[in-house]
Amino acid sequence: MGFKEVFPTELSPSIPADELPVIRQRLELGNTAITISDLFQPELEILKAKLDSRGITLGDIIGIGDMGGITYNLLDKNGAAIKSAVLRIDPADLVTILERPSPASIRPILREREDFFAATIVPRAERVEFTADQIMHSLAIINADDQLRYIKDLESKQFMRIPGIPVPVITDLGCMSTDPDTLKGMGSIDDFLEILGRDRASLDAIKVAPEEMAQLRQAQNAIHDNAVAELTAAGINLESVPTKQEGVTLTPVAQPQITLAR
Amino acid sequence: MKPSASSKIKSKTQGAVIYLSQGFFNGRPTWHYLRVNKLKLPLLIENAKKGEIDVVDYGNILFSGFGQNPPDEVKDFVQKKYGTN
Repeated sequence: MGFKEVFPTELSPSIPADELPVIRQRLELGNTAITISDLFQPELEILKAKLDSRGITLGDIIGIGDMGGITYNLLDKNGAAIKSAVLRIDPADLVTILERPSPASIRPILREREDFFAATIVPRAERVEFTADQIMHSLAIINADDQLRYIKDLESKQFMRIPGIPVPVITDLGCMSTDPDTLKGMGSIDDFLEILGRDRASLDAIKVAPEEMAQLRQAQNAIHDNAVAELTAAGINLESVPTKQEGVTLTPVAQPQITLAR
Repeated sequence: MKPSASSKIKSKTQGAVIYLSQGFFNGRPTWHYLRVNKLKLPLLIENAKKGEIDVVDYGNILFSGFGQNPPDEVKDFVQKKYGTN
């Protein structure tokens, strides 16, 4: 099975039928960036304004995930690239294809949610240098209970380039659940192993020990802490605003026009 | 012709009203721009008069911040996008 064939042909039945063509189009790798950009333009403008109020602007698109998630470089007020973090816009939340939190939502630094998309600033995964063997370790990690969460946190090192796409493809491995009911049609570990020319036996042979898992978790936490420190040092406010208020004053900005009967 | 996904998204912003909610949390001033479902608006107004509210109970937060007032650029953006003036 080729890589493209792994992509969904059977989408979750929870998705409205008339949205399927759009979703399918978005999932076709060659069109992903254009389609997403068009679809989310109104919300993207809101997001840009939100980020700007925190001292962040969007840089270049540096990655497109299997499910159409877009990863951007981030720039500070001076236009300098923020080294430790990237922004991920995850349309998987839009269509509820994934019935579990999106990879970027597991340990975000700053999360912005809307009805129709989710955007998260996450530590830049490239700070962890994966080798091919370590990627295979990662595949092994997601075989075990509660370990899928960990590899999603890491977001993965880019390790594939698809012809025709001018940007690196970042694959978060989230589509490789062993649970067929969790991620219907998203492909399986076996699909991916075939692409990589590996099999289950080679996977089992390099299975990660719990002690190593603990070390990897520690490393991931360090990446997160480092990203927080750098963003804070750059003057970027990561503090969430409490949603509870007292002594409230309400001011309408826009309301439907009311026509009185004559 | 079937509506596109983008037009569906836009249509979901209708049927709601946009409010600026200004108040305090632990004595610290905060503000939120909210997209409030019209059905929940009377409840929001009533509970705001009574005392403490949690804005997420009444709609979606568009923008938030600390301080008494939103920054001018946020005000301008909201007014431009949602304002009726």
